[in-house]
Amino acid sequence: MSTGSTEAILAVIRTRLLTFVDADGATLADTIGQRLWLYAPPGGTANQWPFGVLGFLPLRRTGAYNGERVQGQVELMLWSRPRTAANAKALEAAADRCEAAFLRWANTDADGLLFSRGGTRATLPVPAEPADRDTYAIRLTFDVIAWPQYLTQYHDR
Amino acid sequence: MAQLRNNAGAVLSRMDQAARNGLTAAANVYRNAVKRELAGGYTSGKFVTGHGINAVTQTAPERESGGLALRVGTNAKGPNDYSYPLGWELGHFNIFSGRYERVPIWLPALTTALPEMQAALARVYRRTMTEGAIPTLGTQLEMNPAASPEHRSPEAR
Repeated sequence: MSTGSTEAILAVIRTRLLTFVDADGATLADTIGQRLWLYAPPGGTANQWPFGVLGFLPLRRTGAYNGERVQGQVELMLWSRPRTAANAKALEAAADRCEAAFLRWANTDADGLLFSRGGTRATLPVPAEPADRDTYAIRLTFDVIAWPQYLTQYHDR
Repeated sequence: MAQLRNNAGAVLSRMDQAARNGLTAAANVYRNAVKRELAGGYTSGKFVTGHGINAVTQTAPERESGGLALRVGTNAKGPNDYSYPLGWELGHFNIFSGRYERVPIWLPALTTALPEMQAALARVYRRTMTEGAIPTLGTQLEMNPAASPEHRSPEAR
C-alpha cells in the first residue's frame, strides 16, 4: 500500500472498506462483492447491484504544515436495486460496517500517514423522474487527513 | 450628578449588522456562481427551462450556535417533492439516458467561489463598520453638577 498518488490513497481506503470485519464477522464485500468502483460505475451495471462508488470531494492543503498535509473528504455512495425493504435493510447494514471501518482508523502501514476521524451519513430520498425511482442509495463521507508520499517526498527540497 | 455611559451596545450592534451584510454579500457571490453553472444545463443544454436557475435561493442571516448562519439552496422540486438538483449533484440512474449520471455543480462552484466570497465578506464588513457615524468603544463619565440639588445656586434652590 502506498500514498504515492491520490489514486493510491483511494485504493488504500477501498481495501479498508471491503475487508473490514465487523463484530458479526461480516464485511462490505459480503454485500457488494468487489463492486466498489472509483469515481463512477462502469457502463452496463444492470444486474450487478448492489455496488458502491468511491471518490474524493475537494481536498485542501494549508501552509501550516508547509503544504504537505492534505485534508478533505472521501465520499462513498452505496446503491441497491430494486427498492425493497430487504435491500434497504442490507444496504443500511453495509453502511454501518463502513462507518465502523473508519472509526478511529489510522493507516500507518502505508508510505505516508493516513487517518480519519469524523464523517456524515444520509439515506437519499426516494428518486423521481428523470431518476430511476426503484433505486435505494446511501451517501457517506469520511473526513480524511493524509501526509501523502507524493508530497512528503519533496520535504527536503 | 454623574453618569457612567458605555458605548458597547452601539458597537456590538454595528458589528452584528456588518456581519449580516458581509454574509449576504458572500452568499450573493456563491448564488451567482451557481446560477452561471446552471445556465448551461446538466447535459446538452437543450432542456434548460430556467426553472433551476430561478429556484436558487438564500435565507436571511440567522443567529445559531453563537454565530450567524445563512443558507443558499434550491427550491427546485419534481414529482413527490423530489429535489432533482440533488439527483444530478449526487448521482442517479437516468431513465432517459439509461445510464448513471452525475453532474456536480453546487460543490465545485463553492470551491471555486470561496476566495471571492471571503473577499466580499471582508470588504462589506469593513464598509459597514466604517460608514457614517462610527460608534467608538469607550466609557464616558458625564458630570452634570446642575442636576444635583447640593450644587444649585442659592437662587435656584
